[in-house]
Amino acid sequence: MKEFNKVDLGSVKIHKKVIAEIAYNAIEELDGIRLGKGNFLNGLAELFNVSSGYPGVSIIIDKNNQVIVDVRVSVRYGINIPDAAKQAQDVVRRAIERTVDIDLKDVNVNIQGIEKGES
Amino acid sequence: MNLMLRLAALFYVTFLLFVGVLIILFGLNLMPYSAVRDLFYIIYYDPQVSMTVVGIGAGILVLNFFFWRSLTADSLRDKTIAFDNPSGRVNVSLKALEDLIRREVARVPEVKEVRPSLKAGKNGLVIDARVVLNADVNIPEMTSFLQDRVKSKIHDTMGVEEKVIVHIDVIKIIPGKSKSRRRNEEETEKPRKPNVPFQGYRA
Repeated sequence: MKEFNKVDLGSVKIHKKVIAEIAYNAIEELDGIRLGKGNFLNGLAELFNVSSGYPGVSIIIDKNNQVIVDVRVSVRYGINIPDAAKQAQDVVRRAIERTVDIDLKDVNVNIQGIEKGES
Repeated sequence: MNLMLRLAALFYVTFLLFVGVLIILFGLNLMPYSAVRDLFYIIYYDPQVSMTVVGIGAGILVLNFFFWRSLTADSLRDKTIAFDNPSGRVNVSLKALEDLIRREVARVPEVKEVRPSLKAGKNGLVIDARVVLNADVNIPEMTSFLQDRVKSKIHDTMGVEEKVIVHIDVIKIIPGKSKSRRRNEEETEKPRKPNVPFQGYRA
């Protein structure tokens, strides 16, 4: 019955770059957390059009079509790292789930550095 | 340095020494050209000798591989601390923690310079901090203070209850007064001018 009522309008494809942009913007709004700069490998990946285009954000889609977001950030000196990481994970997850209804598996946060600033 | 690495280093030093001496002798015409030509001739045309040379070449490649593995073992070791949240994994780079320690210790005026290095192992987090101190500090007190400060900073920032071991190596003592003491002395030595009312007033 369900199949009978189903109307196929076509497929919607969401590019990895869109998800990366959402994650990028979500992190950018956080205070005390900054996205890491791209390194030499990121530069090379961008050159060959493999990179997400947003330094510090990588989108991985696994075999089960689940999305994994990897973000590389640096936090301001004096900030509690687990709290900051959890905040980043929550913000990215909320933003992605709100904007694109996809099966988001993990939001992995890699703290790569400590930035100058007041504690 | 383990035994394999030592043997590989010894081999490379000997091999390069041998090649270097041969090149010098050949360049200075101290080695007859005919001897070199004969040697290459034998290697090329004698099957037994050429197989030996192939064996030596393969041995060098194997040694080279082990040498490379030993040298890169440090760079390949795990350089992050990871913990899991419901939303995913959090990896904290040891370099970030080194930055954190560097900034924390740099706040102490008696410390001129600090070079921290971190290792995460089964025993917890081991921090080796090489510090340069000013001459007028009490070293046992200062090192104990630094150990406590680094340990509490790591606990506060990371929120981990993992064991943190802090080794402090004082690598240099710089003569001169510390910034804080100098500032205190300057304040005490500075003659205080009496506050004279109507000073500079000209009738």
